[in-house]
Amino acid sequence: MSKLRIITRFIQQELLKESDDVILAADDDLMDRSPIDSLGVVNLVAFLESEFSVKIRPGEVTLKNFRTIGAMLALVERKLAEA
Amino acid sequence: MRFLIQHALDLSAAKTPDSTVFRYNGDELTYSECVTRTNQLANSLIAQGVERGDRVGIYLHKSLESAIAIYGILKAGAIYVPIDPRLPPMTVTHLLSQCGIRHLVSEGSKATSLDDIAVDVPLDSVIGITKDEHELRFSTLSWQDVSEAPSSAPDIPMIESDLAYIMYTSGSTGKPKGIMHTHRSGLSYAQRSMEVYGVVPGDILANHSPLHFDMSTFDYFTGPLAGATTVIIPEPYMLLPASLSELIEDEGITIWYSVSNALVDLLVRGDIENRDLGKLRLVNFGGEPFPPNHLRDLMARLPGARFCNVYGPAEVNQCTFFNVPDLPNQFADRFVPIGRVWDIADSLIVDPEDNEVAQGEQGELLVASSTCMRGYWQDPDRTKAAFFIQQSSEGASVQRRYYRTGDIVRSDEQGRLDFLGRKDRQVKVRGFRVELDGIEAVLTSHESAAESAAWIVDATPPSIHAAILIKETYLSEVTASALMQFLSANLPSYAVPSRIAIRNAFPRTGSGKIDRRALKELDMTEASQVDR
Repeated sequence: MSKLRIITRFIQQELLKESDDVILAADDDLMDRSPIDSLGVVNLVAFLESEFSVKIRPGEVTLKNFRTIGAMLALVERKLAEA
Repeated sequence: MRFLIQHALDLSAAKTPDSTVFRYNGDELTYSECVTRTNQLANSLIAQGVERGDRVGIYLHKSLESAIAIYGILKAGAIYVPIDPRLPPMTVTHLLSQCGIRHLVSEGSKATSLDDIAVDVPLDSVIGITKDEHELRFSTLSWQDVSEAPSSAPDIPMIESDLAYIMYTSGSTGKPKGIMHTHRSGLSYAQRSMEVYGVVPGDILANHSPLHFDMSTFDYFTGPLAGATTVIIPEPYMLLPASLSELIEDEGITIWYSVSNALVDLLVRGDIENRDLGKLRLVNFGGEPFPPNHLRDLMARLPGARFCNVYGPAEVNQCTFFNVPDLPNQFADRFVPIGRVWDIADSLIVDPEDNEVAQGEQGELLVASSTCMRGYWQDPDRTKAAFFIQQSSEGASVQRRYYRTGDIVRSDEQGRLDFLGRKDRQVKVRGFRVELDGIEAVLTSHESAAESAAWIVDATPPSIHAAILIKETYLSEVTASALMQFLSANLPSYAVPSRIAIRNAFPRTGSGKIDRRALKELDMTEASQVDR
């Protein structure tokens, strides 16, 4: 499964509690009018860290890096490249 | 003359028309623009048939329009009723019907769900929706339409005892309560909070609370009354503390007011060591106890700010405050005090028989104040139960009305109060009031349920856990995730338990009642939350 698909699946199933037939696009704004709450964001960061073995600093958990799945993926790729 | 909440805005606008009153995401309104736009909204509402005393809903995500809606509705002589835009449509339907709301200020994203709602609750007009090809069951006015209405102040005779706003609590469960505040109680709070916190025209307030939270009145009433600027925080920032701290720095926020948990989030995840938050001079928090260890850390990070614990149920706006002294080591293992009852309120601490307790004894806090609500909307029974009437010793002719906070407190010799807990089973999670009994009622309404229990887990932040006792025949079919879906569909997100345990037996007390304490103990010790 691609990284994009892994992140999308986690958000859909664990955070949005949606079934698989709702497909989120990589550039959907997940933070505006979002059903995700702040605890969900914490879980999301923990998931990305464990799934991709990266370390995300609190200062990196920003709108810029988390507004869309595409932005999260870019953050993960950047982290992996740095490692 | 200042006796209505809208006078706070209009009088400051006369003094400083070109100062900014509200800012949101880079857009801003000056005082004079805000007066114009709120007059136009009021005139539009009146043209749609809104009359003095009508309830008008604000069903919006936070935006500049939130501020315009509040003052526009008040200027029309009507009562604003904020509705959480995240509530399930069913709950919104109940609320609109219970409150007799026929007019709303809303937004395009709500057009379809409002049209569905209007099948059950007839609506006359909705402002903030642009007409398109869809046929809707109500008339609509876009903000463009509103901007073409007359900009002169409508001439509606009003008095200070008119209702100004109704805030619903516990939309989650059972029958929600609509807390009715008058112009007098709202303005009285704005006036005293402005004085107590020394809010001045140069101040920049941050509006963190949603409109349906009573704390928002500080940002929307006190700010304009003082001639200050209120920055409305866009909702995405609330999810990401590291972006929120950036906003506090960039906007030069000087006064903060939020639930304690938002500040704990800022401390833990806000990256504040890399921000310059030196302009913050006052940090007010309330709604729930602030864990002292976190408070101490936050105060160390923000040495230039004064920290103040603010207490008061939405029914009385605010009634006590406590300026936290420097790095309070002495509060290490206990709650931060809620402080003294402020000087525009009178208080009693009583035992279950309504007799005053001796100094140093614990009891329920009762408050009489000009900031107190009139009562609960169309609910004379619960209104009566909410107040304690004290007869004067001379006879029945003089009465004093005290609101029963339901909070257990203890006073020291100086009158400084400690908050010890809730009298009933109402709990607070992230600043929201949640009735545990109501969650149980919803869970037990599931077809598979025999009984259920919900409890609060005292962590930081606190969370709700629940257990369900499944009927034998459903044991192999029901899953925790299906139950979670059911709860999410029937409760607002903050009331949905974070964990649910499926059980085929409950621990019992001697009399056969569910032993919630034992359930909670089990919960803490179990590795697996699903126990079949």
